[in-house]
Amino acid sequence: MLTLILILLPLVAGLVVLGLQGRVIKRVALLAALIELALAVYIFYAFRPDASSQFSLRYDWIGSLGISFSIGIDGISLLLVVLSTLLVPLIILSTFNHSYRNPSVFYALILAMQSALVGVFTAKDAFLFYLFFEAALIPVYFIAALWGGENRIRVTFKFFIYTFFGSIFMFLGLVYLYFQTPGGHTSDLAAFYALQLSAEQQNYLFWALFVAFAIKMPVFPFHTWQPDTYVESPTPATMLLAGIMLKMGTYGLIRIVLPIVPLGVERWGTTALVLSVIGIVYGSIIAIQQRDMKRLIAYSSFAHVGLMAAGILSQTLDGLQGSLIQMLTHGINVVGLFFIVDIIFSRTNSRELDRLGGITQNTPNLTVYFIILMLGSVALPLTNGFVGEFLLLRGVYEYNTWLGAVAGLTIILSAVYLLRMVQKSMFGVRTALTEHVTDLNLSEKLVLLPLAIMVFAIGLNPNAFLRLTEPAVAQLLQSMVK
Amino acid sequence: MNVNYIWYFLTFLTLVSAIMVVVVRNPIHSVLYLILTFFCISAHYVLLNAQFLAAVNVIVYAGAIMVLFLFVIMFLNLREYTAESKTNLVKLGAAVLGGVLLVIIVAALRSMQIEPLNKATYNSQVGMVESLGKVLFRDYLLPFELITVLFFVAMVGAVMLGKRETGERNF
Amino acid sequence: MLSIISLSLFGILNLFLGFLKSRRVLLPATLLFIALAFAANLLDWNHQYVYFRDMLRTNNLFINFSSIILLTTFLTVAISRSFGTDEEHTHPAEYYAIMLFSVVGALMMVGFENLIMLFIGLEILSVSLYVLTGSDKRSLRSNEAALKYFLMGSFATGIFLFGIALVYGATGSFNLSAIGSYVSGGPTTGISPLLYVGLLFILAGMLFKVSAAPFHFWTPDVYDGAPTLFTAFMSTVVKTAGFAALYRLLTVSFTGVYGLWWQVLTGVTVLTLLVGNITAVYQSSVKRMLAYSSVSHAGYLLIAVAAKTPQSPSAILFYSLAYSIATITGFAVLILVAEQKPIEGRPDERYEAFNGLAKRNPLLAFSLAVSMVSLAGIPLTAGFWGKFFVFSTAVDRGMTNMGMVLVVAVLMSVVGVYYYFRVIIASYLKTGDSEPIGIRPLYRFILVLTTALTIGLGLFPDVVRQLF
Repeated sequence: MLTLILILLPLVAGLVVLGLQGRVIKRVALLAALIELALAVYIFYAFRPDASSQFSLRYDWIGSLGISFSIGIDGISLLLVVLSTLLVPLIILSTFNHSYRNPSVFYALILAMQSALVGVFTAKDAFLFYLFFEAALIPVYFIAALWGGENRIRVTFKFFIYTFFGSIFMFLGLVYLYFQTPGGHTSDLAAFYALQLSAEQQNYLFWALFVAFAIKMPVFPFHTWQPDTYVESPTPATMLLAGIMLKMGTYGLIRIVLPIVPLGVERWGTTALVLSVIGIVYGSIIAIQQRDMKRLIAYSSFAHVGLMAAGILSQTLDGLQGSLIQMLTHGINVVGLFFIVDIIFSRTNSRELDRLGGITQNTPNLTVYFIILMLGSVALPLTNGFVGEFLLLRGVYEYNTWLGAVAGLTIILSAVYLLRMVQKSMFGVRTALTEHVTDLNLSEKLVLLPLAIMVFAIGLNPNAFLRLTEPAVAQLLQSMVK
Repeated sequence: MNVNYIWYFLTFLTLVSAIMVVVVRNPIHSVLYLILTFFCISAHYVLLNAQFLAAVNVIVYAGAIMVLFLFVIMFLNLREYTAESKTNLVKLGAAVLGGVLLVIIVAALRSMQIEPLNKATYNSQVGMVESLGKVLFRDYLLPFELITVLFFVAMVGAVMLGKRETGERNF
Repeated sequence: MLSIISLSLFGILNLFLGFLKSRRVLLPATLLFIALAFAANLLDWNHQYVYFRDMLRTNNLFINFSSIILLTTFLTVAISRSFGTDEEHTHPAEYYAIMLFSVVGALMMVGFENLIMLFIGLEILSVSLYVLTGSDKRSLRSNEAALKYFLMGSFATGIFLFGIALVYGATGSFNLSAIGSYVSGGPTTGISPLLYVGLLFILAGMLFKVSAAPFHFWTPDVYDGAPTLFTAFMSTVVKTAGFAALYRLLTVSFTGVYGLWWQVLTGVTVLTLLVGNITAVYQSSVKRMLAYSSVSHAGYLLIAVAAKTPQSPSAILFYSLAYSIATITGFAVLILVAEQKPIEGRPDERYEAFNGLAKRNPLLAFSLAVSMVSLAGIPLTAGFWGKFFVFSTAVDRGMTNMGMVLVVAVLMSVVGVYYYFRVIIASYLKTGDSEPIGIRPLYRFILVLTTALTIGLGLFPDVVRQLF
């Protein structure tokens, strides 16, 4: 029941917000998101650390077809549910200094998006999963297309078509799997896991399913939609995209691809892993050359997600655990970084590294938060990024030494581009633009403080999270061996 | 005399006049050839011992409809036939398609075995008015009645389209 | 059966109503007639009847199909707002009567048990549509469209009739089940080659009517030229009836030669999907885009026919329902938007006419967006489940047979998203006129109804599917 409330609450709140006017909109939206967060925190503490699916609920939805409205939270879902419920209130809070046109629609779309995202992460039925997977696309498309930058129409359209293209192949794959289930057919994911498919079937299915998630993440060479979309979208949409929506892809790999087509992963996993690793290096190198901060973070996100995908495809306990913790970490860090870029942009009207510099002299608070989040992204020990990257690299190394070594470049490369970004924007000589930059105000601090706390909380005590996910991951890996 | 010869002659005449309908340039000649075709078909009906159908065919098609056609063509004064130029591609496509269709039909007809007539069970009255009426008003009563809807639509439509509406024409 | 009789009588009654001085009564009366026929149709639910010496068969499938047809007709008539009142249309009673008669034809095509019935039904429907296409007499394009449709349609009917004759020659019967037992029973001399040729001709005729490639060439011109209201009518009712007839004919009579016709049909399907979708991308007029999209939807429906699984009828039903509702909504909005700013006396049907629609009338923009999303087959709308059921039949048939078709269909639905979203982008993201568009209460009601149906069926497809 709690899971259902978790899905429906933002949706209902969104509908309520749609009918409101004026300043109260933001507050109602924030309140709803906070209640949602409180529920998620309760679930987090009430969660038993075993492999079972908890807080589950099951209704017959399309009874004649064996499609059910079946939701639940297991170790793998848990972290992502926490992530999406944690980030959305912060994202809403981060908009308090902006005034968007048609605010009621804006916040309603954000809340609808949250609803769909939680749905994706908790669905236990293949078609329900697909439904939420697609449904998440529509609000974020409209947020980006309505409130985005100059080229928004073209860019977001490309994004929409691209992701739709991927997911429709997944849809075909799911329909195929559905017809493989015995008897009157069911689309329960558990039934899909139990299927005994031939190697040939799995090879085709692997690509049908993988492409959908690879585009969402994105993995090289399916990434071309991503930088433009991130840059053109308004910052809240970028945060949603990079912070949460990207995880739909990695989550899908774990939830759908690995357990359903293990033989396919065995056959094609190396190819996909190589693509992911190429993405890491390629994304990092491009990030180094970027002048626009938002674009730089977009490429860094592309590089980071490549590592997550690689970890998952390594099919090791470390790799999977690392990718799960890294999903949480990356969500926190990237949202923080995008927010800081947005703060700088709102003060100076520029994101160009060449035109910025010396901001730090006026803004001690901003600098501290920026550096904390940057170090988290660089994966310095004791920060959250370290745990994830360490486990991920160990997983990839275990799978293949050479790939592990190449993937390890990410630590060096990310240090290069992120340090360069901080150094060029915050330090150095003041420019005309940065002369009158003011420090953080209260609402901005309220966004950044929880993020900074999380950076250290995860970095110092990763076990609080890993302990919850481990049984589920271990069971998943065991089921792959069958 | 063998009735087959009449059949061959009639069939030859039908085909020739049907081709002429399409080939001749003067629309009035075309209509006249069409009437000739209808007459030939009616003659076929007679050969099949279906005199009623033959009569109806002559009266309705050759008589009423074709006369109307002639009238309309004379009214419209379509003496000059302007040939619509078609590209070679269209001509080629039409030729290929028609050729394929012809081959299919000819092949089907060639490989067909027609059962010889069984004189013991053959009912020579099958084409007569009586049996026709029975079939029409007993077995096919529903289509017969519903076809009135078709006539109704055609009638209403003709009246509606035929009346001039006020106002400007536009493209 | 009762619905056929009542609709024929109501049509005549409608003509008499035309004598009345007041035209206001016509629209409510016609709506009432359709509603009555709908109710009469439902009386036979869960009964099987065969009427008049195996001429017509009514069962639940018949009732489902005819309910969809009557529902779409009801919606189309309800948005025909200008007929009754304005000076331009001098014969509203005739339009409505012809629409009612054409539904008689459509119902015959759904319930036929004899090829003669199919032929007459098809003719009634077609002749009505020739007239309706040309009904905007002062528009040259409408005239041209009517003539084109008439000439091509008659030719197709001729081929179709020739096919029926050949099948009769082979089997000696017009009765569906008699033909079926001849085909699958395997006569001692083997199946006569005439039957194959006849089947081919019948297929060509039927595929022409549902505008499947390569018999689709008439579609864009005719749909574009006809008054938009009748385009909506044509692209929904004809398609539903045509596919009901096609499916019935192929499964009842020609199951025995499935191996023969599924190859033809899959070829046609692939071609239809490719032609319909790719050409739709290049259109600059929304009306023409919708015309090509109707070609592409014929392709999706053909998948279910070609797959021929036990689930095919329900897939066709659901798809037709979802498609019809969304198409009617799309055309309803198009009618309103296009007539706001006519160009040289013609309604402006380009994409640009939709710019800024969300500001001018949010309801119009929203229902248009929902209908386009549904046509594109995106989840939470009826169109998604339509595609789902159709694809399911194909997957059920087997990947070796249908895999190729499925991949094309999936790729083409991505292409579909492209052109459907152009309309949404124009209405939500672009700026244009700011003059608000007013709509009448009935129109508003219909738009709300269709939008609610589209979303409702998207959330709970089982509600309707249990009936299919």
